[in-house]
Amino acid sequence: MSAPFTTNELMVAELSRHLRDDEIGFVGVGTSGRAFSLVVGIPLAAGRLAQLTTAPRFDLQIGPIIGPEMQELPERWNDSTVYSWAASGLIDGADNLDMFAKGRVDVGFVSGAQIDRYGNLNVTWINRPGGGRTRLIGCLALPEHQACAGRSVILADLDPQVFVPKVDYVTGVGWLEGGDSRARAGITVGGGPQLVVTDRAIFDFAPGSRRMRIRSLHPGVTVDDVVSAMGFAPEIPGDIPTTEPPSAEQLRLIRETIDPRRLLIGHEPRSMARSAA
Amino acid sequence: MRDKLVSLSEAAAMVPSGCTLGLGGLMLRRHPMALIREIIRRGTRDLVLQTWVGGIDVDLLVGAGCARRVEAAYEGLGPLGTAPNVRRAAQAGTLELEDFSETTMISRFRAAAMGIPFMPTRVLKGTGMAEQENVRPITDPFSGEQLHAVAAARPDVAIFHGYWADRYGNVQAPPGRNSDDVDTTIAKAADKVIVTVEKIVRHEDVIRRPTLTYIPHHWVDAVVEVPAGAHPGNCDTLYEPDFEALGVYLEAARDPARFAAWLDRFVREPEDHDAYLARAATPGRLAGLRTWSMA
Repeated sequence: MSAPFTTNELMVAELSRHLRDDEIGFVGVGTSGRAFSLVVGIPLAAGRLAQLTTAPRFDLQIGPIIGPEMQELPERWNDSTVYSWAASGLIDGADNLDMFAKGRVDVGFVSGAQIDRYGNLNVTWINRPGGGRTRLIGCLALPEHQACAGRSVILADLDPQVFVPKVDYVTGVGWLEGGDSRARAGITVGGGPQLVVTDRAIFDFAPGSRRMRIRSLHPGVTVDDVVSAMGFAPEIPGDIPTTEPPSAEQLRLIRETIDPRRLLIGHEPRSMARSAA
Repeated sequence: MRDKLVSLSEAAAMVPSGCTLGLGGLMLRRHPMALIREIIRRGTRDLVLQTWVGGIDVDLLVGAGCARRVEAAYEGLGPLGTAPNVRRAAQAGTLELEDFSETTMISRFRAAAMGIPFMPTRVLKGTGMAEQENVRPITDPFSGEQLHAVAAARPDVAIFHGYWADRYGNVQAPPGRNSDDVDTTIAKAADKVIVTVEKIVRHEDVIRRPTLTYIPHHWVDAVVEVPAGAHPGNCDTLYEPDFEALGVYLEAARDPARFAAWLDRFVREPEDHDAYLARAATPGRLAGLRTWSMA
């Protein structure tokens, strides 16, 4: 049985609807496998889809690569191919990050080894149940994404080990302890996490409490499917819509124009068979 | 101008045990790996490593027991994942780590480059990094806003791998190089600067294209000619990472005993860089990594 669309295609189509004309979206460079699809591939494909449909002036940067020519995807994703990509500019690392800290990035795309109910992210240290800690990668620009971007979009597959009640270490600030705690901490440059795009549902953060809230369920997914895959109970509104499936035109663009070789969205979530069936 | 051309072992002798060592490059790209292997061969210990986005350079120095502390925005191998030696040492408590975001680590180098003690930042509010040794709360004297100060990162010595230079240490890069690094900023921050390059060229050739110089001789104390000096990482525009050699490294680094054997075979036993290359890769494979030739 073949699904009419894959989970990644659904995530791309949905994310594209949240990207607007004249915004600058910042996508990172590193990672591989599923993590690459989540924080690099899906945002790039969604940005390109927005450019081709609803937001022709949506502007992208991949780290210091300003305005890459998205119709000329590199053959492979490595240092020499990515950094010789046709683009408006390839600027110095420090110049690039200056503009991020200043608040000139409108939307950042992020993920985390731990994500809590307030959208705080951890990629630095994880506590082990029996004591001791597991070291992860450090920080990269996750603190800038979460503190300085106009808004951040979190992309992750639902997993109770990832969606935890409270992160063990705050690498990137979300809504901290909820309510007005982010504003009280004096975080004034960026707008914080606004959207969480996962393999089974889309979330936002409830006004007031700033707790993660189900916004829509992917086709065929139940509230129980979602809650059982999380380490905390999200806010559950009374009437939850279904995530709008990709249109025939969106699917055609993704498959034929944007990513025909599946360089960007080739790694589907483990839950794909279930949620797309 | 002074002639600053030295041998790899003379350069390594400029990095004493216990010093704060700045490192250039990013993830797998343009680290001074040949110099790092020479530093390990000398038995240098207790280094404090300061870098921006660290990679195979940091992992190798930590795995060889040369470093007691790392201050950086990242330690990992990019597409190859977590830095295994850093992870093991950090979890065992034998390595201190101080984490910074990308902009705050740049700010630390910038402060040192300007000769000032710290830089203010808004980025660390609410994060775990705010509680660290080199981060303190401060008040903006103009607006009263609460900020954090990050302490200047001023390496005693900083080491880099570049493309070509003259004997005086004017380091140049091809126009198409990837400048997603902060090598120039780290060079300004350090008290001493050592640069290994793929090739030493005539000063007469350097001065005809002065805009290609990104680390000028004023800042440089020593320069070394080391072709393929970033191996097994890459020197962008010239050659790609050697993923086969990196795979051997990663496989060994999973286990301390196997990594000790790897260190013997690829760092301690080869008497020089050529002997290392002969063990680490075939000439055909090295040639296959090349993307551009410096005539």
